[in-house]
Amino acid sequence: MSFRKIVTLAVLGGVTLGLIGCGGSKGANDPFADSSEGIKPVSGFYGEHMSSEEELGLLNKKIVYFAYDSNNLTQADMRLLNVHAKYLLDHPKLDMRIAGHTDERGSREYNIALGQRRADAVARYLESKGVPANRLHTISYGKEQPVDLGSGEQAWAQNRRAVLEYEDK
Amino acid sequence: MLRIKLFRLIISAFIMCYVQLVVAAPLNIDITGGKNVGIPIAVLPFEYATGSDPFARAVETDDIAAIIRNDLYNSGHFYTLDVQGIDTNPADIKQVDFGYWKNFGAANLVVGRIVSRGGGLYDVYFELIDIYKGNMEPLLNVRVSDKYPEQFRALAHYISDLIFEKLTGVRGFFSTRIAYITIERGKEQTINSLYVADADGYNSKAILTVPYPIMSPRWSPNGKYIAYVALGKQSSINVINVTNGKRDQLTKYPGINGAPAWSPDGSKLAMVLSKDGAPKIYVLDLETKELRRVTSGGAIDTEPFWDPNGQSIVFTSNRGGKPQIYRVILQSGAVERITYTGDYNATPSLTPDGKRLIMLHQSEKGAYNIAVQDLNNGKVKSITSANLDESPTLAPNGMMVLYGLRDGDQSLLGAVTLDGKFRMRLPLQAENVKEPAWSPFLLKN
Repeated sequence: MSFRKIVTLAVLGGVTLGLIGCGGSKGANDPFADSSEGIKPVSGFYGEHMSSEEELGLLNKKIVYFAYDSNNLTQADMRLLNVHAKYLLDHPKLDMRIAGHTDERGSREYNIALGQRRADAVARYLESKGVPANRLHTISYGKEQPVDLGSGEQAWAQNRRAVLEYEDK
Repeated sequence: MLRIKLFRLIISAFIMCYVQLVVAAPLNIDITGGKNVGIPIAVLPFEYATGSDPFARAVETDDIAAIIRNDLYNSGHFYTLDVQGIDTNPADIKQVDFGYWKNFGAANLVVGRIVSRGGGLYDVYFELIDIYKGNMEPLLNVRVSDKYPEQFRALAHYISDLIFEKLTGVRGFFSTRIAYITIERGKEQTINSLYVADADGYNSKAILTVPYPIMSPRWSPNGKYIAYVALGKQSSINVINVTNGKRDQLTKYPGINGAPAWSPDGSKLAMVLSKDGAPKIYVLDLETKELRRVTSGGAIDTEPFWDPNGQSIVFTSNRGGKPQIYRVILQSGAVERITYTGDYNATPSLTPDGKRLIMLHQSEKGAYNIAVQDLNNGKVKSITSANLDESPTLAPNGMMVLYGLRDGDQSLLGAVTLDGKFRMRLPLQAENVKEPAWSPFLLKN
């Protein structure tokens, strides 16, 4: 992780580590493993101003969290997904896998459906930004893969999420 | 560093032992405390006789009487009397002192003997005696021939089945099996296993061990296969042969492949797919491979369960806003809502007579419990009372529900009678157990 960060940072000419968000996944297909793949900002894509520092920070963030029984995306989630949409468009050889998750309450199969809705919400948004649907692969793990094994609102909030992962075609 | 590791190892070994003790201990503990629930019955130790083989010696075997007692007690329909240290040990009805057993509080008495036939084979005799009937004919008088000691445990379950059926009028489930999933969370990866075991939790065996989550095991009606969901990079519905572990993948569409449910005749599999948008109920003909969608709309439809008559499927849907149970008639496609109590009803199953609905129900306090709804009058009764109960599966005789429950950080299996009066925990030696599935009646013995 830190090696990847350092490489990407070098490409961009240095930003503070503090901007880089929490843990993304560590797949072998992670685009940041390749130092030649920098970010090429496309002006106007976001329809809003975004510094390259913020863009990098968001690109390293690959988890979208959800409220209880919700698959709604917040403004901040959309800002995050804009960055990933652009990255996908800039890197046509990459696909994205989106995994939806829920908290531990209720039926396992019903939670699979809720997790799928979260993954689908992310996929639909990326599509709306021009990413072809056939490059987005969704799966729901329902409540089968919690990151926080505890019970209670704090653990549940951590577990209600969609996780983005880049992968080679 | 090494010392820390060793220390950790010792600690975790200690915890493992402790956990096993904790899990194993409730075998005979009635959580609800309904100690005198059911028919009082005394099961005497089976007498060992050498019979025609004077050189035969008593063999180390499973204690048949103890297994029968355990079966009957854990069914929730019997109160098994403690017969340790009693001074009478009749071998058959002619030797029974009826007055003594009336005083003892027994309504029924089981006596038996094991007779060696040589060559390692045994005949087992037993009698079921009604203490209040007042005549000299036993209710049951059975001889089972030519058994090896390794078969005694299965034989004991068979005897329990006969006794249960004679005294309750309903077929016993003691010779059936259960499946369940265990999770071992390691530092590097999580190991998920599909286990099968006897209905009392003994003879457990992993038939599948994989590094990705598996879900929703369901026995085929002939008891030979288990359908399940695998959540690898993509979800898929698979079928595993219980005997040889051979696997077949049935579906692997984009999105959800979930909630498999065998039709009562085993020719079709209902399932949930989201390949066309929202999760919907589909029926796959296992012979022709024809796939038919049976529900429509933009809401979540999931957890199909076939009505025992095969004409309709009950399922969970949030088409009314919150998850509730609906029924779709397969011929017409007509859908009706069947639950109205509470804001969360899911995981439906029906009793073999089709008259009662078992489901996951959220109580007014917000707890998730197992509940039974009478389909005639719509009345709902919760039969469990922890916080996060789930995954109810009904015994093939419709008298008991096995389910998943949480106790602290542990996931365990519990069993409860349909009236909620008797509850127990299954003695499974794993830390995290989930998603029990009760087998159908099996043709054996």
